[in-house]
Amino acid sequence: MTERVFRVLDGGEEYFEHEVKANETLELYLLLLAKSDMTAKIRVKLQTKACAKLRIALLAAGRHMVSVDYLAEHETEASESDFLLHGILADGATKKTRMETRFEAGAHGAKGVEREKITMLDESCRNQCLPIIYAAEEDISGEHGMSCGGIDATAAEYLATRGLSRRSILRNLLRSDISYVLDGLDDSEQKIVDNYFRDFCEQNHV
Amino acid sequence: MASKRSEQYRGLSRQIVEQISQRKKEPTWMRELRFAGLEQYEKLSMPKFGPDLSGLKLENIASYVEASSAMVDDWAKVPAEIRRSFEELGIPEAERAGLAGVGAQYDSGLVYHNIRRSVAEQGVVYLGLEEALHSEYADMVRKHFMQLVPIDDHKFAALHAAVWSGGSFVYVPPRTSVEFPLQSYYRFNAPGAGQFEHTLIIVDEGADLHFIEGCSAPRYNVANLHAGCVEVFVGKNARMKYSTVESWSKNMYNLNTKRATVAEGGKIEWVTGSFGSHVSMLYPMTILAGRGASMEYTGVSFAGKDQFLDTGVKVEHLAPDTRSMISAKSLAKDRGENVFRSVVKITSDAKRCRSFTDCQSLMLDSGSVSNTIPYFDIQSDDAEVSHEANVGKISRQEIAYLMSRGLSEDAARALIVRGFANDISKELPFEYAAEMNNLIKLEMAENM
Repeated sequence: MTERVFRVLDGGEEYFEHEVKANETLELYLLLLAKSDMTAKIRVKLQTKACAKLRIALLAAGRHMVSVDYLAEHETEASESDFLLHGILADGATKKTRMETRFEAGAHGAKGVEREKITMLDESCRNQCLPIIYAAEEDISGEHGMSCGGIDATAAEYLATRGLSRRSILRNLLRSDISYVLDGLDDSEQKIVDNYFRDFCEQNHV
Repeated sequence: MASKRSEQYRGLSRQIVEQISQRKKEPTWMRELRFAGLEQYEKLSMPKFGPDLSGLKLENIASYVEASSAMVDDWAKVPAEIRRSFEELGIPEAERAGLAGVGAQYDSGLVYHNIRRSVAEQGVVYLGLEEALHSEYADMVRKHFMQLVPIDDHKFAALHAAVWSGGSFVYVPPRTSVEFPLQSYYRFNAPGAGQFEHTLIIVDEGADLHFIEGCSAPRYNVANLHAGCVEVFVGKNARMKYSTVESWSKNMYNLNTKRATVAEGGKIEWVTGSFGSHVSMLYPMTILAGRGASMEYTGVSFAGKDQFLDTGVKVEHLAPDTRSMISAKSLAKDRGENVFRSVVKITSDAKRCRSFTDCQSLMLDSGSVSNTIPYFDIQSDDAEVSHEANVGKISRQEIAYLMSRGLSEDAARALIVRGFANDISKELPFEYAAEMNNLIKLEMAENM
């Protein structure tokens, strides 16, 4: 059985705690719009052969602090967790992520992945990231990856040769980044994301 | 040569610090620095992260153990029992075979220090640090000593400032390339002792140096403490490689501090193999202060039974066009605990920086623990930073393949582990790579 959740958060503190039962799957999609300081805390505890797929898109602009705190606990066999965050920081935004995947003794065959990709649009932004893997079991697979930088200059140059304006290029590249992480949403949910993304670009002169 | 009676100062007090300073006939500024270190030590608290240090009773540690002989530059003049311990480690032989110079420390004092004549003729200075303090280089020492590692940096830096003893001073003049490595080797002898050597290296503009540090100690039932300090100043367009193969005994608390600053166009490479100690907290730090400066870190740590190795690396990008690359591997077996901890910080002035971190952990059995905790603080919008990490066990397919080639399962696992650490061993001179492979072999054999 798959439980699917899509939420849009625009400030304050939100706390998600979920125990994913044996052989079940949780898909959690979050769109974080940082219009003020915000914190999202996510805890998942996985039973045998449970699976948690968490996808977060972050649009942060203005001198706000966005804090994402994620913990996946693997205590039994063959569970899987997959956390992916793509974010855009603009106009002095600060983002702090703490991602932790814990493999306790007994979590044979468990897998956990944490990944994050952040695009910073100006020099006043700040990105802090702390990915942690704790492994007390030999037979597990844990991975984390992080990348941070500006717009892909090569891709931008290519699109420019196709006649696109600078503004179009930027919006296309950023929107594709968000689409990648929210690929599991249906058409109506994608429209909601489109609207928020357009507003974000208009308000921040992207 | 008659041996002087060995003296020990157990615990820490103003009187002990005064006695250490008097024995060394130090200038006033150094004595005052020691007292300032003692004051900070008493104010600062123990680290709030990392392994449990409750087994380290600092009041029982001998802050100073005088070597039973003076420093000489001829192995024939070193007392027989001390010389034998270094011969068993292969140090004199390595010096003859291909080192530019060797410093050998026994407990708190240097017993041997020598530099090849051809290297000295290039203008390279390689002295015991205490000797340098009383030489024509005294001002250079004063200008640099504990400038990179301030005495209030943390509790063990303060302790080091108060009771440091021994260690080396190296100066490489501009545009001088030292063809062979310099080596310092630290040997513990006294149970319950502390070793607090200080290494100060200045590589001037356009110069090139490889420095190797080795260490070992017999195993006792009481704790020993190593709280040394390494400060490296890499000048404009200079190159520095700092290699360490650490195989302290398993009663050792290894709380060393290493820090380098790199000027414009300069480069430092850290190559580290950590195999020993009961507890290690070791995070070489690099400050990329000048445009185009770079750092590479390649390290392996192997935590076996009763070992808690908390190691890693820190780098701060303060200038534009700086680069850092971190490649760390760790292994854990037999309920050992390994933590890899790193910090990459990029300030807003550090435009067009690149940083890449790769950490891989291999767990060799159930019951061992491996943590990876890399931290990134990026304040520049045009930095490119990426990181990847993997934690897992040896692949069954790889073992099966090697067994199909005739190896036993144990031999297959040992071969895979040596291959895992190969990136580090190939950065070391042959003798040290061989020593590292031997250490891996010993660690694997202990539980097979």
